[in-house]
Amino acid sequence: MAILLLVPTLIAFFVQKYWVSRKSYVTVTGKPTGASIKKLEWYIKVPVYSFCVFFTAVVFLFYGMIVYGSFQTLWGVDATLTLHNYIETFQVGKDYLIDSLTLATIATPITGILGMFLAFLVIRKKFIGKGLMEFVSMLTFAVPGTVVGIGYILAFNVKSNLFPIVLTGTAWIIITLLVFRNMPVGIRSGIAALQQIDPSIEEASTDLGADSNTTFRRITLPMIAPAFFSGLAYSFVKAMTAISAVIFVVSGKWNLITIAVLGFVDNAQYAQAAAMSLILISIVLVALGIIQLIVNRIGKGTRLINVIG
Amino acid sequence: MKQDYLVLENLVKVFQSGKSALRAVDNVSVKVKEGELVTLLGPSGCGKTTTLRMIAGFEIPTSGKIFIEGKEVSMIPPNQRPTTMVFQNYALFPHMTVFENISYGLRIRKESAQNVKEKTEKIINLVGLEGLSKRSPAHLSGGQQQRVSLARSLIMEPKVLLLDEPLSNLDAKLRVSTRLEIRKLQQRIGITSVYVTHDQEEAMTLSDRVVIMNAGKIQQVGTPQEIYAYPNNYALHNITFKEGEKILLLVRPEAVDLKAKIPNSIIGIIQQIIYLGSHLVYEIKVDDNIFTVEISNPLAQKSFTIGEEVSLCLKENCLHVLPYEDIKKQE
Ligand SMILES: Nc1ncnc2c1ncn2[C@@H]1O[C@H](COP(=O)(O)OP(=O)(O)O)[C@@H](O)[C@H]1O
Ligand SMILES: [Mg+2]
Repeated sequence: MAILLLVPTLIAFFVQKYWVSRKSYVTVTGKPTGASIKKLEWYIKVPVYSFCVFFTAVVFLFYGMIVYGSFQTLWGVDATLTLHNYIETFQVGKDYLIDSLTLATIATPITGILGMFLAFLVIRKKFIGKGLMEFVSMLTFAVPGTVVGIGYILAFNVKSNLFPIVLTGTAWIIITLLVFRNMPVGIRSGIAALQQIDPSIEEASTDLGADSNTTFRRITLPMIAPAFFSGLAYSFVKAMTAISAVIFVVSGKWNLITIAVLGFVDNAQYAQAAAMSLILISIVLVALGIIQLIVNRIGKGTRLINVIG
Repeated sequence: MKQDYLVLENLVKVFQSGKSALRAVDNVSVKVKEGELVTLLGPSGCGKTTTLRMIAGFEIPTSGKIFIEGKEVSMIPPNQRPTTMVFQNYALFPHMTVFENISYGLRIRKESAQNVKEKTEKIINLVGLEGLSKRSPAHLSGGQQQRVSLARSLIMEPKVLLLDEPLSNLDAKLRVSTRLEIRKLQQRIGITSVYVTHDQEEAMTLSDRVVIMNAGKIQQVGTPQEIYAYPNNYALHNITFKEGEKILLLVRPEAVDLKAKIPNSIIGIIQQIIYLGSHLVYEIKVDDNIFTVEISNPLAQKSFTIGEEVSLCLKENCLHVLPYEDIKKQE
């Protein structure tokens, strides 16, 4: 069933790969010249293309199965088409849906802004302990999700000097988990974006009379906006589809859509699970679409790069 | 005209990295007159950019002072200094149009919309960017980007204009025409300028005075004519050569006559011929070295073709003899 959860990520990944492959990476040097893409030889092109087509086909097959299955009366037994699954899923899963959306919507901007801010510190400022900070912020990403989840439970289950309130069972434990688990990618994309921007562009702004606040607002921010929104898109998708670490910290009060899918599967309600997954996929795609619209507005045609890694 | 418009007084910049210290700029003193264009010329890494960045305020001098119109500016932050800089890679704002790039400084200064519009349009015409004001920098040629960068600095009416190798990203042909344009514009506006380049020809053609730097130190200061005639004054006086000592013969590209091959002379093969209107440039391979030879008034002389063997004949009064070791040290 984990595969079911992978599908939206996978499809978005391929769509994004397709976009990116058509687009040249342009490094912002302040001296923008059109970068050219090398023409590939046919013997590289043909196998790679066939592989991609095959893989995409498999992915679409998965999708088709979910779509088809979600409309069946009883998956695999009674193939009569019905809307019943959706109605039932929606009744049972409405709370999960709202919880997931709420939590993801709170976690996403926090992740994005924190990630961008840390990236800015790492690249443009000099301070003691910079390397350590970069390393620690990457850590939760490298550790397997289950380990992180259990760690959170152990850390937040009881009152301690470090954490005077019990976080377990509240929305905050889920939000913190989502934030810290997804932030590394935000930091990485921010670092990549900032590294591509020649510091002399910011110096030019200072040279023309802007103070450092104005320079950050009018020059740095607009230039890293595409990366910022890519980070947002990533962390939203991850927050919506998170399962491994999150499963340890959900509670009766706050639950997530992915957990609901698992619940349906446990009860052998595959059609309902499929319906729920489809709803999840739609939400994610709509969210990605909205973010892409914003990026288009700001970045003047920049595609989401590294949205979903 | 004020004699000491911009004064650099014993400027030193030391870059500390770990335990090692690098004296990137070592006791540099220069006086620039009002309206003068002074070029810092020297090989890569000799401290030209660092000197310029200290004038702009991006680097704080380790010691020494900078004065503009008699007022010390060494400690004034870059956004409040009456200087603007044309960066080596232009550093245009990629998310703004040409108009927005050029008017940026005025808008930061909160000048009235009317003022901004008028001044920007005027300068766009001055640098020849008419009709491009709505373009994004990404859709400009290298030469046009260079003009945007120049216009963006000029519009601020700085007391001192700083240019860091502004032509190094252009191709050779554009470099020659653009440097003339920059010089004309600079003279027309009468703006005091410090220009950085590693290209000797560029320095010679557009400067009022040239400051030759090496390893952070000033080697020589003079007008292009002075520098050209006596590449290193100190090296030319009072030198006696011992027999067998290696010497360096300095030959200018135009101090050579080309003749059809004659025995017992320096013989080379023509590799490349470049027409530059009033004169002709041959690239000639002698042994393993490529030499450049300039022939003025080419129509009046015998012309050669690529691959032809020719003799290089030196004009006696245009030669300089330098001690070999001395030159090696400078490189
Ligand atoms: N921020 C810096 N930190 C350390 N060393 C620097 C820095 N900037 C320049 N340098 C060093 O100072 C020397 C002079 O550099 P620069 O002024 O850029 O030379 P130029 O412009 O003449 O090529 C070089 O050896 C360079 O590596
Ligand atoms: Mg330099």
